[in-house]
This record gives sequence, structure tokens and C-alpha cells, in this order.
Amino acid sequence: MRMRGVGEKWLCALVCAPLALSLRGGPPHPAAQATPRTHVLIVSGIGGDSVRSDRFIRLALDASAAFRTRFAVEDSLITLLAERPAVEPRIIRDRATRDAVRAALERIAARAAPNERVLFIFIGHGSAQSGRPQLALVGPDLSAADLATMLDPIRAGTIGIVLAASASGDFVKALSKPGRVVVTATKSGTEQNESLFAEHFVAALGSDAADADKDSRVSLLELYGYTRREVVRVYETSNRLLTEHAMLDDNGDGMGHAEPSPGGPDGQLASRVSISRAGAVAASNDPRAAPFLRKREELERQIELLRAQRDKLSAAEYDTRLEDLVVQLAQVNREMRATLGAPRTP
Amino acid sequence: MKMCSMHRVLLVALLAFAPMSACAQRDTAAAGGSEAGNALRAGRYDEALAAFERRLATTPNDVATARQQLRTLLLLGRIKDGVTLGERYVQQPGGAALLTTLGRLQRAQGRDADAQATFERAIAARAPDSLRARLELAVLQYDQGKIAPAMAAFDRFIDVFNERASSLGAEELFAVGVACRYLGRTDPQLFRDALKALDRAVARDSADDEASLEVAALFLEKYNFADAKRTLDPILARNQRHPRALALMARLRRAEGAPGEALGFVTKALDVAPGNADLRALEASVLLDLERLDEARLAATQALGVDSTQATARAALAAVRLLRADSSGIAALRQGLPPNSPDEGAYFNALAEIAGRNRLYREAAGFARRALAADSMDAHALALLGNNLLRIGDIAQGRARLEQAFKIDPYDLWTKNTLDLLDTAPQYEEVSGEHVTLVVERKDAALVALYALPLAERAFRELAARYSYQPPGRLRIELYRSHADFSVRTVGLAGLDALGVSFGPVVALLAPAARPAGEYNWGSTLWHELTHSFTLGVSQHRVPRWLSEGLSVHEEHRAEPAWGSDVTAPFVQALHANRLVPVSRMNDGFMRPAYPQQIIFSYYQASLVCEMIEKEHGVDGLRRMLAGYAAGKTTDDIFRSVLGVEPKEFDERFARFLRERFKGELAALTPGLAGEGSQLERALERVRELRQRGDVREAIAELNRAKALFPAYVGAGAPAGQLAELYEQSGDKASAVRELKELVAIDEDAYAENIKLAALARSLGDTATALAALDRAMYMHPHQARDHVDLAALSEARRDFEKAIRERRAVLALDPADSLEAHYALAAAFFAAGKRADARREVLRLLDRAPHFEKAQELLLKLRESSPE
Repeated sequence: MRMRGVGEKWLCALVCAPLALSLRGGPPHPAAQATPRTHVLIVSGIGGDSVRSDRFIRLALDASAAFRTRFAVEDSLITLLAERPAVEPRIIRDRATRDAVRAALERIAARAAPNERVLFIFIGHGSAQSGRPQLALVGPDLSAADLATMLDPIRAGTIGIVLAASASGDFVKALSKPGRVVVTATKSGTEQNESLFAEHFVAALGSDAADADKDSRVSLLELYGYTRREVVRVYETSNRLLTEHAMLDDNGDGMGHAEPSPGGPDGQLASRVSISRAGAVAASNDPRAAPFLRKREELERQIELLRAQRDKLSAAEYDTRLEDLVVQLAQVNREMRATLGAPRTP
Repeated sequence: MKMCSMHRVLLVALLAFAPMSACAQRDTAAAGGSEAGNALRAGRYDEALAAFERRLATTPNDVATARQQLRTLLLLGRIKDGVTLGERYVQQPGGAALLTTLGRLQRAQGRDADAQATFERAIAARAPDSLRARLELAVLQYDQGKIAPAMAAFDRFIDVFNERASSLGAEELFAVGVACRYLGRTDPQLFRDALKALDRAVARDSADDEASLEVAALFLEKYNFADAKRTLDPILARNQRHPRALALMARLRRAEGAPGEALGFVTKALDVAPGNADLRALEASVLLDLERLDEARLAATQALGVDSTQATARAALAAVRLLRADSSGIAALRQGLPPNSPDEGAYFNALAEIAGRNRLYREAAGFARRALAADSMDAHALALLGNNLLRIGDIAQGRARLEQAFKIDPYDLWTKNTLDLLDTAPQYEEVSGEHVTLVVERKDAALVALYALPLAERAFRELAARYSYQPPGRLRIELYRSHADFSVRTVGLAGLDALGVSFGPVVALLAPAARPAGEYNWGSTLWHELTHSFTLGVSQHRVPRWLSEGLSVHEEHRAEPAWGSDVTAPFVQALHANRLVPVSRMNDGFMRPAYPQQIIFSYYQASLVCEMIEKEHGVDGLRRMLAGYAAGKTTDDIFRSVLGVEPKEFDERFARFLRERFKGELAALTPGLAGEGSQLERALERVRELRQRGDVREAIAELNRAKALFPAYVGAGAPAGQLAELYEQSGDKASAVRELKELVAIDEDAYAENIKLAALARSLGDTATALAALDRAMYMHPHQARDHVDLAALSEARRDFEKAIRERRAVLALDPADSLEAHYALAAAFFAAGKRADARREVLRLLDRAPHFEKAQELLLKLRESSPE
């Protein structure tokens, strides 16, 4: 471990590998769509002390487990690098060095097709000394410029970059490009206090809570929104001033927004990049589901039309029509589950 | 809404101490340098007067000495002597120079017509101090309510200053300063000019304290207490007997809430000037603050004996009647004052202040209105009216009056703070029940109302039955997240060390989020304050503080056994050391505590008095006591007529009761004769040693002995808490539960212990205990979503669906991370409770947002399938 000067910031980050991210174009149910492969690289940086080192590794392992089990990402598409691979050698592929990150991203670049997507997650400490943003790794740190260079060869349609690290805000400018979603735990390199972002981001991956519309898939925008809200809540409930302001940039302009939305300017792409729950993925791949999925798609279209007419209807009439459509939708789902023998979503 | 906070600039910073006064050089020395002058400045008044007499015996036409002599007599309140001499002097050659001083002496006797004629003579004779005479004449007009001509006269002093500033003498500059001070009522910036002129007067003649004292009075009037004190200190350091400096210091300490010290200064001043009517009137006011009504009446009567027009003394006499519930004579006492004059305003303002201080808020508002009828520009009356209207719940009118007050007097920090707080009204939401309206910050409203509204309604019903009293209108309960906001709402300043306050129709208290979990029970505080609203109402706001607090704590105990003050080790030690106040003087324990903790002890002590009275005389005894206060009876009268006991006898009985009741605790907490700690201290020390050694079995045995010594021990290190911890560590959950149950039954702030109890009881399958523990925790800290989820689940398991619905709503109010899941849980609770319409509405709202939500879809199908259709 390298000792750093007093006042220097520690950054924490996360890396990732491929996963089942899907590109959402509109309202149809996610399980009705093919789910492109997602490559996930998770990097757990150095902790600086045993408590943080353990915590970063635990978070990275939890994230890896969530991708594997909750989102059915193939093991071969998930790469985990950490400070101490011996903690879980079956899962942690290598030490979290700059060379190992480069090698992992080169492997992903070689495998990821243009219709696939890549998710890079860093959990650890960040810093921004002399205007040079860096992520703390074993050995030489990873600068924003290094990371940008490593990501460039990847031809995947979308790259999601989540830097759950202190002082990570300055990475946005260096990494922002069309087709990329860049999430940072802070708004700049000056926010150097240890970040809570990783804790809540990993929690979001591990539960249904982040799935704001309960469609059995979670978008990067939903993950970001959940995490940001929970971080703010911790500061508010403990009567502390917020010392980390997370941001998301996905329009390639190098300017992050704290509250992105599907309406933009940031948030459009992130709302479409989503990960489907394991059950939904399985259903979408079963040919017996096709007629149900078509019915469901039609009902969802009708619900959208009804929503568009909301202002023209009385509340009671709107509710009656909505209830009718949603009941039909529920019945279709029930029949499909019976046909496929699938359990209900918990 | 008017953006008050943008332009509401407090002018206090502009009216601050100017060091020029301190380094001023004398240039005239009527009294300085001479033997008499030195004696005068040092407060050796008799010596000075003797010197004046000697001088005048040899040089009878020495006008300067005669003037000093008359002024000294005026200062000392020897008005008759002064007038007699003055009337003689003005007949002598050069006597015109003494007319102004004679006029002032005549005013001090209340002979305003004579004084007016004398001032006019001084002006006509072009006396050397004719500018001062013009000032005194304008002041006289002003005091008689002839405001417009008086203000026109004051305005001319500005011209005088602008035309002749460099040639004006100290007394003329003084006159300009005083005139500007009066002009400040229409242009607050002129208070700065007043200060400027007075500072120049001080610089011109530092030997004469009159201008410095006027500066101090100006600071005091404009709430700059620090600079007022800084101005008075050197004067009093030089002359500890200066009656006016002592009087100003008394007013200062009174304004700072220290009436006991104020009385000390007034007494010193009266030793020097016993015939000074203003000082006697001030003494009466301070004695009223100290609830010494008979002495106040005597002092006021003495003041009126000197000057029958003294408004403050008249107000003090009226206040004594008011506080004894005797409104007769209040109007008559006002009769001697010029109608629509500032004196009439001062009379009603003084009454409004005293009424407000004694919780007679409605009456206070009434008096302030009458003060305003006398002078619609009276900022003090407007502030008094505004504040008292806010206290009785008329927020709109209260605010309007305060806005008016602040326009006239932008130095008033209290008013500014209150207006700033009122500006935040849009951040608050009103939630109404049958009898109460809650006013809660929007972000808290949905959550807090779930608990506070039913609790307040329950308190209303139970207290209405207990006291056979129905408040005339809806009670307003304001809950503040910020302690500073609560404090401003209560006293106009931040820093009040209290949790709640009741003005009767309006209650203000800290919101649950205002304090960390485990430090505050908002439920018991609400009950306490609502009890005040009832006891104030029944007694027509005349119940003394001690009984009101005692009843509030007593009712807390009745509502929930764990609520309210309980016996503590310091209380028992105070009992042991005879440091508790007797019942007949218990108001002193609240209003004038002899030591800081006495007020805390008095709460519990007063509750024990109430408990004893109810035990012996039933609740009817308490009701009759309150009725007695409503009729204006004193505590002594009530003890005799209602309780059939002499106050002294009751004191003795209660003292015996305390010693008997806490016999065990006294024995456990009394230090050993050989200087060793008390039994309890020794037991806990042994526990500490045993725990350090890891001897759990013996530690448990010793803890049980310690608990028996002082069963009410709560908080850190409490034996029951330690026992629970040890039992849990040793796997004996049932015993841990037993200990925690004992602890939470007597500790109203035991949040962590209740949560622990719930978890342990739940793990043992004791859902009733777990549910009760979580229920209690809601009145301490309802902001923990996990507690609500647990309580909802327990309620559902026990088929208490109403409570489950409340808890599911609470989760939603906390803006949970997974709001759809929380909505679903609420819909499911509605469904389980058979509230089909609510369940349908909730589930449709859910599915409108998230049509794919499978659990919600299933619930909707269930609703359809189980439909009666």
C-alpha cells in the first residue's frame, strides 16, 4: 500500500464486466425483447487500511454475485479484480493493477460485439491532485486519461462506467462520449471525503428496490436514481451536510447532471440501458411465451394510449378503463406463468 | 407573499456604541472642579447639597450653583424642596435662567399646567437654556397626546443643529439628541442622529452624566443591551449611588429577564432618592415580575403619592387587581391620564406586558389594542398585540400587527425573528382533526400526523372529561423541527431550553425529528402541553406555574406510566439536603430557582403534590383548586378553602410524605458516614469490578441488589439495562426481555431499549410485547422506516389491520427507497382489513405507475375475484 499525503483524497471505484443489459426503446415489456449480452468488469481498488480494503472487496463480490444470480449474466462475461484475490480466488480473477485493468478491457474489446454492452464499475478511492483525476489501484494509479485510452477500442454499442469513488467527478469530462453512460459519485475532484455511493449502488443491484417501475429490469438511470436518493437520505437523517454530489452524463457533452431524466438532457440513454431479472430473461427466451408476450405488448400499448388520454377523462372513468386493461394484463401474466410453470416474481 | 426576509434589515448594528463618548473632554464645568461638583459626581449628594447651600449663602445670585442644586434635588426625588426653592429663585435677579429647571420639578409633581407656563416663561425671557425649555415643552405636549405639534417642535431641533452645530453647548446638543429620539418614531434612522447629537453632548461636557444616561436609555430602548451596559458601567463605577444610572441598570436587568437583580438596583436607587416617583413605579413593576403583589401595590401607591399622574404606577396598581381577577378600578386608574396620550399608551402597554407575562394573553391583546387607540404609531403596543394574537392563534392578524411594528421599529430583534419565522409558513402544512389542528413542516406532516393527531384527539377527550372543560375553539398545535424556530415562536429569540410551550389555544413543541432518537419523547411533551391548555382554560389562565406544571406531569403519568418526570438520584439527594422548595413557595422553584436544577426537581415535586391531592380529594379537588384560581383566590386561600389545610401545615405534611415515599431511595443514596460512597454507588462499583473480571453470575446478583436499592434508575448504566445486556449475552433472552420491560416501563426516552425489546420478544414469539415496544418507540423517534415495517408486520400477524395500515402509511411518508413496494404493502393491508375501495384505489395508483408490477396485478385480480359482485 502506498501512503498518501494528508489531505489527499482517497477514491473508491468499481469496475465491471459484461451483463445482460438491454436497450429499451419504449413501453413493451422487457421480457418480450431479446436481451443483448453485457460484459461486466468490476474493479475493487486499494482500501488503504484493512477495514476499507475488506469493505471494497465485499462490495465488489456482492456486485458480482448480483450480476451472476439476479441478472443471469454468464460467469464468463464477468471479470472481478481486487486488491487481494486470495479472499475469493474462484471469483476474483486478478489483482487490481493498472495492467490487469488494461488486460481485462482488452479482452472485452476483443469479445464485445457492436450490439452488446459493457459495464465498468470501480469501487474504491479516487483523487484529483494537480487536476489529474486518478483511481487508486495496486501499484500505479489509473488516471482518467489511461482509462479513456483503454476504453476506446471497445466497439460495444453502449458502455456504462460507474465510478463509485471519492473525487471521481473530474472523470466525466475525460470519459464522456456518445454511447457512453458515465456515473460518478461526486461532482468534482474536490469532493474528497470517503463516498457512500458504492454501498448503495451495490445494494441497488442486490434488491428490487431500484426497479422503480417494477418491470423486472433495472436501468442504469434507475440504479443511479436509487443510489443518489439513498446517499442523500443518509446525510439528511444524520444531519450532516452532503459532501458528495453524484452525477450522470450520457449525451457525450462531458457535463454531468445530478438529476438526469428520460427527457434529457442527460438520462435518455441511461433510461434505455437496462438489466433484466433472471426470470424475465428466461421467459423471453421460451418459445411458448411468444403468444402471451404479444398479447401483453398489445395491452401495454393500450395502457399507453389510455395514459395519453388521461386529461380528457374523469378520474373515475380513467380508473375504470385502467382497471379493465390491467386486469387483462394480469390475467395474461397469470396464464403465461401457468403455461411456463414459472414462479411469480417475488 | 411579501419577501420580508429580503428587506427586513435589523437596524441594531447601526445603533451601536460610539467610543467617542468614552474619551470625551469637558469644556464646561458647572459642577466640575468645585467641591460640590466633585461630591456630586461621586454620589455624595448630601455633601454636594451642603456645599451648594454654603455657596448660595454667600453668593445668592450664583445661577449655575442654584441650577445644580435644583437638578440635584430633582434627581434625588426631593421635589417639594426643589419646587419651593425654585419658585423663590426665579423671583430673584437672573432667575429666568432657572425657569426650565423649575418647570421640570413641577412636572415631577404632576403639575403639568404649571410646568407648561414655566417653560413658556423661560422661552419668552430668552433664558440661556431656552432650547432645553423648548424641548421640555415639546415633551410635555407629546406626553399630553398632542403628537403633531410636539413632533413639529422636535423637528425644529434638526434645523437648530444644522445651522449651529459647532456653537451648541452640551445641554443644547442634549436637547437636539432627545428631540431626534422622539422623531425616530416616524423615521427610525433618526435614532442614529439622536446618538450622534448625544455623543457630541457628552464630548462637550463629560462632567455631566445626563447625556451619557440618555445614550444608555436610547440603547436600552433599542434593545442594544450590551452597549447600554457599557455606557452605564463607568458611571456606576464612579458613582454607585447615581439614582438614574441605577434605575437604567434595573430596567436593563429586567429586560434581560433577571427581575431579582433588577430589584437590587432599584432598591439601591431608592435608598438615595426615596421620593422619586419614577423609581417607585419601577420598583412596583419589578415586584410584580417577582409576584410580590402586595409590595408592588404599596410601591405604586407611594409613587402616586409623589406624582399622581405616574402612568407606570397606575398600571402597577391596575395589574395587581388584574392578577387578582378584579377588573374593577382598572378603568378608573386610567382616568387620571391625559386621553390619547403616550402616558395612556404606556399605562395600557404596561398592563399588556404584565398580562402577557402572566399568561393572560387575550387580556394582553386587549390592553395592547387600547394602547394603540391612544397612539396608533406605538410600535411597542403593535408588537405586544401581534405577539399575543399569535399566542392565541390569530396568526394572520398577529403577523399584520408585527409587520406594522417592525416598519416603525426596525431595531426590534424579537419582532424580526418572529416575522422571519412566519415567512416560513409555506413550508408548513395544517392537518385538522375534530378538536385540534396540527401545523407541521411539510416534509414531516404525513408521518407526524399519523401519530400526533390521534394522540392529541385522545388527550383532548380525556382531559376534557377530567377537567369538565371544553376549550372554546380548536386547539392549534405547532411542531418545529428546528429548536431555534421553536424558541423564536415562544420567546422571540433562539436559545430557549425547553421542549414545548402552551399558550392555551396554541401549543408549540419540538417535532419528533428535532432531537436524536433517545433524547426526546414528543408524545409525552404533547400531552404535557395540552394539559396546560386545559388547566389554563379552566382557571381562566390564572393557575400558578407550579400547579400547572405539576398537573401536566401528573397527567403524563396517567396517560402512559413511562411518561413524565420520575424520581432521580439528584432529586433524592436534593431531598436529603433539604434543597427542595416547600409547596407554599413552589412557584419560586419554577420562576426563581435557587440553583439550576431546582426547576427540574420542581416539575416532579409539583406532580407529586398533585398526585397527593388527587389521592386525598379526588379529581374534583383539583378542579376546585383551578376554579379557585379562576375566581382570583390566592394559593393560600385555596389550600384553606379547598384542601381545608393551612399552607404551613400542608408544607409539613408534604415534606413527611416525601421522606416516607422515598425512604428506601434516601437510604440507598445517602453517602456513608466514613466518607465512602452511597450503597448504590458501592453496589455499582462492585458490578463494574465483577464485569471486568468476567464474573457474570455475581455481576447479575449484584445488579439485582442495585436495582432493588433504586428501582427508578434509568439511563446509562442503569441496573436493569446492564442486566438485560448480560442476560442476552448469556443467551437468556426471556430474562433480558423481562429486564427491558421493567426499564421501558419507567423510561420515556428508552428508544434503543424498546427496539431491542421488540427484537428479542419477537424472536421468542412474544408478538404482543414486541408490538407494544415498537408502539412506544413511535412517540420517541418515528423516523426509522425499519421500525414501521416491523410494526406493520407484527400488526398484520396479530390481525390488527388498522395499525398495519397506519404503519404502512408511515413507511410511505418516509419516502422509502422502494416506494412501489411500500404502496403495494399498503394496498395489501387495506385488502386484509376489508377496505376494498381503498385497496382498489391504491393498487390502481400503483399499476398506473407500474403496469408490469406482478404482485400488484395479482392483488387486483384478488380484489376482482373476491368482489361481492
